Amino acid sequence: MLSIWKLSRYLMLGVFVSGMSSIASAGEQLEFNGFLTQGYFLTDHNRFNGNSESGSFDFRELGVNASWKPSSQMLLTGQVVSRKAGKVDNGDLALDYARLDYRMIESDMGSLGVSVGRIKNPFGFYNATRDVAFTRPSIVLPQSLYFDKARTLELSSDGFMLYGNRFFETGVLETELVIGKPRVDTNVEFAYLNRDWPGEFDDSRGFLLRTEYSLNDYSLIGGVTYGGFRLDFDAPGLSLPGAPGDGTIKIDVLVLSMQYNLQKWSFTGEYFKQDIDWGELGGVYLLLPEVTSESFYLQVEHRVSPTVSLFLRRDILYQDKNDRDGLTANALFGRPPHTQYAFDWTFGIGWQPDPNWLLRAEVHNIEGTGWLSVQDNPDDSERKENWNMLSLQATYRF
Amino acid sequence: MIKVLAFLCLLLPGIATAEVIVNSGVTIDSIGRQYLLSVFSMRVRSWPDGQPVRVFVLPEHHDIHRDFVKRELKVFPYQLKTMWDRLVFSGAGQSPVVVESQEEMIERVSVTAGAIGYVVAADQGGTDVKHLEVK
Repeated sequence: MLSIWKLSRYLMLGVFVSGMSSIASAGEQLEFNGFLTQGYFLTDHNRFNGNSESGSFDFRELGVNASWKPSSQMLLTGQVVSRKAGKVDNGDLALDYARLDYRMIESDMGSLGVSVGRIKNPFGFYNATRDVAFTRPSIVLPQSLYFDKARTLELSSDGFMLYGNRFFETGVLETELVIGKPRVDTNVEFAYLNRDWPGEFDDSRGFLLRTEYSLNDYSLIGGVTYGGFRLDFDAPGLSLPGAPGDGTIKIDVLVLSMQYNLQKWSFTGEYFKQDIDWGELGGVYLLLPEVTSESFYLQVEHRVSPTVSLFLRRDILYQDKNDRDGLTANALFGRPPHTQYAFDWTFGIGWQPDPNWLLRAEVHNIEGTGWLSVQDNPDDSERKENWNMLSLQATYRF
Repeated sequence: MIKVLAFLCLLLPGIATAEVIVNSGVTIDSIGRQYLLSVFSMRVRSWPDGQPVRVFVLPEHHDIHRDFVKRELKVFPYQLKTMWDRLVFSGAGQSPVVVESQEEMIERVSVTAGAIGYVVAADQGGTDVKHLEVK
């Protein structure tokens, strides 16, 4: 049953939509889009998006966005998203982005613009639209890069963005720079501190720089994302043994992206390196004050027809590139070695019976539990190293 | 043999390529291919003279749309769709206006300031649109 709080949030969404509709009559350049996704997850061991060992429908994504172009230089956009995903996301409505954009320069050589507000984090190929099923190549994005367990940090930042593109003879160069406060919540604690300690992240700042070069026909696209986040942890006066104290976690990320597109085939690969320095927090984190994770995936998509596509993907994650077998983590923290890596084979099929509908099915065969959420899998000893997952998804867009 | 095939191609209906049309108030007469793709992928907001750009397209599975995207924009329809979705759902842009027929395309482009679209070349005499040469 919906709580009063949740109900009021859904009412707010209704007011937002109807409010924007009334503005619609004021100008032609106003539009709305949205999506609704329902997923199903079944695993033989471990839990993903709810109690998937007995089959979980506990995964829903709902989003509505509006955009308004009051002049040829300005664009105002906003999106609210509700996401229910096991114990990671509770389905509350959140402001995903709200952005005022000003196009400073525009010509047949390129353009330059600036945005302020809450801005989607440009990160790799898929992050900026990761919750929109129509823009994903699969039900579950490669978890080694687009890990859902720390998703809040990855979603959007409050700040500003400078962006531009420049045409060259052989292609186009596109660059985005976001500087601001990335969103943090308890899930970020689970992901980076591995549990919800007393205290919280009370401030954050960071930047992301993404540059992509695409050939004129977008057959070959190469990209680099580089960024840094600083998350300030505020600990209470009395702490538990091993608990973190006040301090700042420093996270630096690098993504290399490459895609090759043909009429029937697309080949995509991305590599991700993340340096985490949490030594300043003290406590148990002093045992391993710095760690570098490394991950990559390779994916082949085949479009059998304009409405049916297949894909095969190999996705690999090492939580610590200096501890690929997980034995050091096992010795230091007592965690099973398989919590330090994950090797995922995924095969899937997608069908669009209508431009507004998308149905998907996919199977995963996974060794390792590195990207499973602590929230859905709190007890390490109950995690199984080798597991399989079937997922189904239906999406409607408007 | 090749001559026979070429002759047969001329006879096939639907082989004619769609041409770019704009509202007669748009002050350019030709357009580069990169810039054309930028316009149709919804990345350009205003014409060089400052008028807002309004993009009109046929439905995504329409043969003329698919043919135009491949021949004139030099990308595949799925790539163009991906570009639109990424802009719209990240708050960076808007969608094109989808019209159901060539007649509606001509009608909307002729009455909308800054409009751009495409039609398979036919006699467009009497309507308020002009053809753009793609360089």
